Order: sequence, then structure tokens, then C-alpha cells
Amino acid sequence: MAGRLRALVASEPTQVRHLLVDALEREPGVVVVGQADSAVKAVGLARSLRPEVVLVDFQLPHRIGLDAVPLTRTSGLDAAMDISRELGKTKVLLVTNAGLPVQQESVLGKEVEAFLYTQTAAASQPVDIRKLFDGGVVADGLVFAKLGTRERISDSNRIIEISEKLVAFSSLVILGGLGLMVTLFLASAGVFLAAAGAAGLLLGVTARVAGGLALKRRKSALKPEVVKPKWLKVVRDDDQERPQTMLDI
Amino acid sequence: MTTRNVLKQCSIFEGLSEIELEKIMAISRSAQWEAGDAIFSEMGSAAEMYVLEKGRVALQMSLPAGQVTRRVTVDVAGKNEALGWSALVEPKRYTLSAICLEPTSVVAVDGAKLRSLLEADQGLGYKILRQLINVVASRLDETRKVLLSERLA
Repeated sequence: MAGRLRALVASEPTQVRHLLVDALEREPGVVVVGQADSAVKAVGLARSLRPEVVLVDFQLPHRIGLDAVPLTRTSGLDAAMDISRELGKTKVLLVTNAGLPVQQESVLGKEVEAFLYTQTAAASQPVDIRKLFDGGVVADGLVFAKLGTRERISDSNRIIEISEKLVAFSSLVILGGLGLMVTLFLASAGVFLAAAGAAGLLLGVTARVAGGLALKRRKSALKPEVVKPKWLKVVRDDDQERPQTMLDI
Repeated sequence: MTTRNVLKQCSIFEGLSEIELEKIMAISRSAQWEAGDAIFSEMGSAAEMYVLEKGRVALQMSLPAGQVTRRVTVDVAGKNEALGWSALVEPKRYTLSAICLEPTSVVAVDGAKLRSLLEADQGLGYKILRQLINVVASRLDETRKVLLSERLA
């Protein structure tokens, strides 16, 4: 398959079509001559343009032109099989995960944003469009391939990696902060307790000293004194008054 | 993922006890296919029912289009979905073809042994067939849409 290769790209999302076009035109001599966003259009364009290569997204919808009727169905495989059967010389490549992020190491340089690859159990190799049927998985005249978007994935992975680290670090800082807050709270409580204890101690000692002095003073004041009871009044026999009692004193 | 987890996450085996799952596991095996492989073909003898562990599978039916017969995709099955329910009902012939769009791993359940199991344990049979009806109804609905869209095209 030497010389110029004309290719048709069929995928519904514009972004995926652009990635597929980029992946195709990265190869020297490959020219994308048509793009389709539905299976019906893809088969129609393939019939009229008769390209050498057709890339079909498996999620390509089958539309019948009646937007009000919800009959859209996935028919990328059907379109690929129809094109392969009708145009025997056309190489058809069915892309099975266009638009999905794929972590994929490639032998291609880092400047390559998107690339096609076939996947086997052993390893994944980028698709060489000119050797479409030499490698990869071929079934019913189709090659099944995947679309890798390395640069985008790398950026996304980096963002995810950084954000995960940030979350972990922030969690540790929060935990540390909480620990410090608890420590400071306990320390503050300790200061208050110590002050309260010291005040209590001072009060106790002062009260004890004062109490001791007061006791001493009272002991000295309470020396024994002979007091003649006032109520022991001698009542003579001739005294007609009633005897005086303690209540009368 | 273990066979138990694959079966557990499939709607058909939803709500089964651990003992019931053990019985299904005992008649299951793991299998792998590459992209483009046919797991089964329309009108082929239905020996096994499959639960998808990994990959995507296009379910296609044949439609006569003049001199040739075209295959149109009725549905695309993904992870944890069941394929090949025909293995459980007469005449035990697949009604669709299953084509792998990606490298695919499945848990394959022996149809004949599963039928025997469902007959022996009617409680289990009721649970599984009740869920299976939803799958059959969904495929029937998709087929109706495909036929209608083909007619309007």
C-alpha cells in the first residue's frame, strides 16, 4: 500500500474525530478525505469516496434522520462490516474506546497526542496504517484498535496525583492542628488548675495561722475566775417573798 | 475479580444467598476472547450462559437485505451483563450473535447443569428466572427498535 492513502473517519463526537484525524495524518502520505458522524453517513461516504482506509468508532450511532423518533442505536460495528463487505479493497479499522482515557505506553514520542494501537495479551503496539492487516486482530475483514490519548491522560494523572497528595497532606495538617489544639486546651486548663490550687493553699495556710493565733489569744483570755453566783441569795425564813430563781436574775 | 464477585454483581444472580452462589460457581468456568471473536453465533447450539467480567460485546442479529444477509447490532453488552440466556430455554439455540469489540473476559455457566439446578431448587429457579425475564424483555425492546429503524431507513 505505497503512496498516498485516502482515509475516512467516522465518529459522533467532534473531539474524537479530530483525535482520529490527527492519529491518521501523523503518518506520511495519509490524507483524510471525509468525516461522518453517523453510520448511515459513513456507509454513504464510503460508497461515494471509496477510500483506502476507514476508521469507525464502534459507538457510532445509526440515525434515520427523524430526530423526534428515539431510535438511535449503536451501529459502528454494523457500518464497519457493511463497508468492509461492500468495498473489498478498503481497510476498515474499528476503534473500540474512542474518547475514553487510556493509560498506554507507546514507542511514539511524547509530542504525539493521540495514537491508535492494537492490543494483544503480550503487548500493545501502535497501528501502522500501511500494515493494517499485518498485525493486530483481524476478524471478518476488520481490524480492532484502540485510541490512546497519552498527553491528556498524563496531564490528568498528574493533576490527580498532585491533588491526592494535597488531600493527604492537608489531612495530616488538620490532624496535627487538632492535636495541638487539644494540647493547648489541656495546658490552659492546667494553668488554671495550678493557680486555683495555689490560691487554695495560700488561703488554707493563712487561715491556719490566723486560727492558731486566735486560739492562743482565746486561751489566754479564758483564765479561771472565781465568780460568786449571783443567784445564790440567802433566803431567810422570815422572808415571805417567793424564792428567787435563775429566771429572775 | 473472583468468579463469586462477577456473579454477585450480575443482575440475574442478584439476591442469591452465599450457598446458592456456591452452587452456581460450581458449574461455572472463566473464559477469554480477543476483539473480533464470536462468543456464540445466531442459531448455534446454546450450551452456556455468560456474565461479562471485562470488555464489551456487540449482540447482532441477521437481517436479510436482498441477496445478502446483513448483521445489525441490537445491543452492546458491558461489564456485569449477562449474555446467552437462550441456554436456559427451549429450543436452546442462541437468538443473536455475540461479537467481542475488545479483549473480553467472561464467566461461563453451564446451561444444562444450571437448568437441572433450577429444576431441583425451585426457589432458586424462581429468583433467577424472574431476573432473566428483565434481560429478555430489554433485548426484545432493543430488537423492536432496530427493526423499526431499519424499516424507516
